[in-house]
Order: sequence, then structure tokens, then C-alpha cells
Amino acid sequence: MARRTQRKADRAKAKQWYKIIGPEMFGRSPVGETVANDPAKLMGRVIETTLGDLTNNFSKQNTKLRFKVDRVAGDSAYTKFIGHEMTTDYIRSLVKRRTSRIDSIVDVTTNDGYTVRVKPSCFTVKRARANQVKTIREIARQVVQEKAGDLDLNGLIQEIVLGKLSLEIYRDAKEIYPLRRVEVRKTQILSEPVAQSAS
Amino acid sequence: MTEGKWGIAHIFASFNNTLITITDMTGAETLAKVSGGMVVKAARDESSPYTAMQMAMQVAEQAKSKGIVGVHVKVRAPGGNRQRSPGPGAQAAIRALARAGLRIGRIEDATPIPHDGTKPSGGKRGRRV
Repeated sequence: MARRTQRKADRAKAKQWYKIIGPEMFGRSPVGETVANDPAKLMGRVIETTLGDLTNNFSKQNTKLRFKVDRVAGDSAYTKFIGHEMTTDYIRSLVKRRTSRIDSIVDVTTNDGYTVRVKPSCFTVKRARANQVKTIREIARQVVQEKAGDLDLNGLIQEIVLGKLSLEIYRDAKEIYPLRRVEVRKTQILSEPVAQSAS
Repeated sequence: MTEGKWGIAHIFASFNNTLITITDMTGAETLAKVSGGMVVKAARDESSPYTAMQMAMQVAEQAKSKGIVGVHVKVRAPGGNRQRSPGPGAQAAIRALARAGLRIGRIEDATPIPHDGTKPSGGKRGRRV
């Protein structure tokens, strides 16, 4: 027993702590630390933080951001953004009875070649009819596609995460049916531009 | 917020057992783990709040010795086609972690929710006890 604990301690000592640095679009701030015995093992690890932690803004605690380690230098690991998600308890607090929740899923390509899947949700004041639901979904799709066409990935993510995109969907769709709230529930980066991924 | 090392405490609380695993922020490296059976002898006590308390003490001790000052908590119930609400150990474990001197950050529900899946066990008329 004693020998086993001894060996375990040695293994833990052989490991090194690495700082995880957030991506450039979120100001390259440290987001956490991870431990490994080999820097190669850091690649592909995913860290989740909230926007509230990054910006010291408590009203943004519901947005989770996911970063993936893509480069290790010294004792710091650099990350890239791979998606965001609203916390489930926040989304659940928005869902109410006798109202419609209009989910849509839109795949868009930004003007610098990233394919992003955006999932906006609209919450109405009262239950909407099926054709109103359809129209709202169509509007959400159009707004997201228009936005993505003009912006690069960085800009699009900023708009989504800071809620400008959902505001725009809200403005356009509220003429169809009164809306209570619009949120971009989730984004995922599906693919990167081929030429840039090598660099 | 970021002073000192933070980890994630994954707490899985079912009605039969409680598991606590403390990992680093990415969840890739386990720093300390404990289950109900490591603390008590009787199988029926594995899920009890008192056991969870003792487990949390143990696991917090190990984590602190590795330099962790605080943890974000991810609570998980069995989920899937089983219960969505965590077992009796979850509450006690979180409180005991705080009492043991670890700072508690976000507390989040990580129960797997199916978007649709297999039929729950128990048959058409439910479990008849």
C-alpha cells in the first residue's frame, strides 16, 4: 500500500500545469489551467467558461463558451472558439405553457469561409399559429444568413454572443407575432476554411 | 476569479450510489475521485447524504493537496430514460465540498436529457410496487 502511494505521488509530480489562454476574439485572457505529463496531450482538450467570467459581467452568466486547445507554447496553451451554448436552466426558464417556442437551425458560411451552425430560438407571448411559426422561422433564417454573409467569423460570434443578432431577429419577427424573447441558443463551428487550417 | 487553480467537481447522484470526480478545467485529467463504496460497507448506504458528506471531505482533501482552491460543480442524475432529478447525495456533497474549504463556482445541471430515445423500463403500466 505504501509503495503504491509513493508511485502515485511521483506520477503526479511528473505532470506540469499549463495555462489555457482564451482565443483572440475574447481578448486572450487566461480561462483556466490544465495538467498533463506531455504537452502533446493538451491538443484537442475543450474548456468551457461563461461569458460572465470572461467579461466580469454577471448578467452574462447564461452563455457558455467552448474553447479548444490548438497550439501549445511553453506553459501556455492557446485555444480557438468552437461554439457556444445557453445553459439549460436558462432556456428552461424561458419556456412557458401556452406559448410557442420556435427553434430553427441554420447553417451559414461566413465571408472568411467558416461554416457555422446557428440555432436561434424565439419565444412568443401567446401560442402562434403554424403559418406564423413558419414565417418567423423563415425570418430568423434570413437574418442569420444575411448577417453571416457580411461578417467574418470573429464579427459573427461577437454579434451572436453579445445578443445583437437575436435583437435583429426580434425586430423583424415581432411584426408577424408578438415575441417575448429571442435567444441564440447554440452555435457550432462545423468547418474551417481549408487553406487557413494549415497555418 | 482566476486566482489559484480551479477544477470541476462532477457529482453523479443516483438513488443507489454517489460518485464524485474532481478534474481539471478541461475535464481531461482526473485529480481525485471517490464513490460510495469506498466510504461505507453496506450497499444500501452508498447513496445516503451522510456518505456523500464523508466522500466530499475525502475528495476535497485530495484535491487541495494538488493545489485546487475552488471547483465548478456539475451535478448529474442518471438521466436518459431514468430519473432526471439527482439522488439524495448531491445536495450533501456540494455543501460538504464548501465546508471542506473548497470554493464553489458555478453549479450546473449536467443530466443527459434524451431528444428521444429508447423506451423506459417498467412496461406500459409503469412500475407496480
